[in-house]
Amino acid sequence: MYDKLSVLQAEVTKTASFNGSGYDLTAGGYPNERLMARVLYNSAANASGSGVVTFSIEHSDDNVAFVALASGAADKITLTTTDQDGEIFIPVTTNKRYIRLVCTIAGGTTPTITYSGDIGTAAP
Amino acid sequence: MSEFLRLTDYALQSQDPAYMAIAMSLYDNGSIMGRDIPFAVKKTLTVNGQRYLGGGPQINWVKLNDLNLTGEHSTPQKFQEQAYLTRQAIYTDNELLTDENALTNPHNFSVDSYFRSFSFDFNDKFFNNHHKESGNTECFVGLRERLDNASKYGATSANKMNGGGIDLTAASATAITLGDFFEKLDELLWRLNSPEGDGVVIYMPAAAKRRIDNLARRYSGQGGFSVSTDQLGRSVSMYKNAQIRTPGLKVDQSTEILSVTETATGGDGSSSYFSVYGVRYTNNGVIGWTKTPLSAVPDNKNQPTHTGTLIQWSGGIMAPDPKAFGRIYNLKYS
Repeated sequence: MYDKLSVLQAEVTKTASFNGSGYDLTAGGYPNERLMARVLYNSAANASGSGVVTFSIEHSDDNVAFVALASGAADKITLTTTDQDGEIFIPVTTNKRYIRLVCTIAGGTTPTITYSGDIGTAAP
Repeated sequence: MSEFLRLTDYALQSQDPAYMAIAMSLYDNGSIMGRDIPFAVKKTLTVNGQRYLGGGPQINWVKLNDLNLTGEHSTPQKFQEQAYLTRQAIYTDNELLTDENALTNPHNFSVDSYFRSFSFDFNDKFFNNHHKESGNTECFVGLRERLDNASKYGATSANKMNGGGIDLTAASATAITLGDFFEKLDELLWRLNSPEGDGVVIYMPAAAKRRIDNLARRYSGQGGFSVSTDQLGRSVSMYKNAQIRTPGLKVDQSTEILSVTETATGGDGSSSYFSVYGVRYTNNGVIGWTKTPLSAVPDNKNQPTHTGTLIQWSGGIMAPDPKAFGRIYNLKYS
C-alpha cells in the first residue's frame, strides 16, 4: 500500500518537461530497500501530432545534483488528441538519499498531462 | 497451501464469537472474500511470488551415466503484490443509544451495515477495480483489468475469451446456442487447468444465471446447473464441480457488479452483452493474505458522548498461476 506521507509528486498538470522536488528516502523510512515508484496519470493528450511523455527517476546524494537512475521508457505515453489515463511502475534501487520524479515531454502541439507519483515497495 | 483458509473455514475453527459474527456476516452477504478466497495471515505489506509465464521449465532426458546437467533451464519470473488498507471509524451519539424508542441498537446497525457494504465493495473491486482515473488507486487491481493487461499483471491473455456473441436472448436462443454456451464454459474450465471445475468458482450476472436456468428448463437435456451444498450446508448451484455465484450489487444497491449491458468487446456500456468469470482457488490459484484481520474494535476517542468502533482490514490478493482466472465476454443477453 502507499503511504499518504510518502508522496513523490502531488498531482500536477504539466505542458512541458518538469523535474519534481527531491524526496528524502531516509525521512520516508526507505533506506536501501527495493522500491517501486508509481505514477498515476490522466488527461494526457495533445492538440495534434504524437508527443511523447516519459517518466523517469533520478537520484542524488545532496538533493542538488541529480543523475539518471531508472527510466519508465518502456511505458512511454504517445499522445493523441484523445485523453489517456493509466498507471506506470518504475523499479527503484539506490543507495543515495534523494530521488525525484522527472517528466519529459517531447513533440506534439500543446501537450498536456496530469500526474502524481507515490513511492512504495511493490507493484500490484 | 495448507495455511490458506477461507474466512468461513477460519470461523468454523475459531472460538471467537466476534470473529465468527464478522465472517458469517460476510458469508451471508455473498462476500467473495468470506466464501471463496483462501487467505493466510501474514504480517507483511508486500509478498513475493514466482510464476512461469508461457511454458514451464524444460525437462532433460538423459542416458545412463550422463551427468551433464548443464543446459538451458527456464527460471520463473519473480513478482510482488502489495497489501491495501481499508479503515473506518463509526461513532454513534450515546443519546441515540439510550433512546427507549429505538427498537434496535443504532450503533450495531451502523456497524453491521458497514460490513454489508464491505462485502459488496470487495466483490466489486475483485472484478472491476483498476488504477486509471475512474478506479480506486488505493485498492487492489481487479480481474478484468489484469486480463485486459495480461503482460503487465502476469495473467494469460488467452484466458480472456471471446464468446463470439453466443445468443442467449429470451427470443432467439436455441438448444444449439445453449449448447455452444456450455461448450464455451467447458473451454473456460480447460483454460483454468481444471476441466472438471475442481476448486473453481464461476461468476456471472444474476440475470444471466436466471436466463441460463430458464433455457436449461426449456431445452431439457441440454445440461444446466445442478444444486449441491457448501461447507455450511447451504445450497449452491454447480456446473460440474465448479460452484456458480452471482456477485450481487455494488454498494449503491442498484448497480450490478457484473452487468448484462456490456458491449460486444467486453467494455462498460448500454448494450446487451455479459461476461462470465472463472476463478480457480486451488493449486497455486488465486489466494490472499491478511495483514490486519477484518475486525471491529472499540474506539473510545469521543467518549463519553459517543460510542465508537474502528473497522479495518489490510491485505491483498495474488495469483501465482497466470491461468488461475479467466473471462468469457461477448455473450448476448438481450
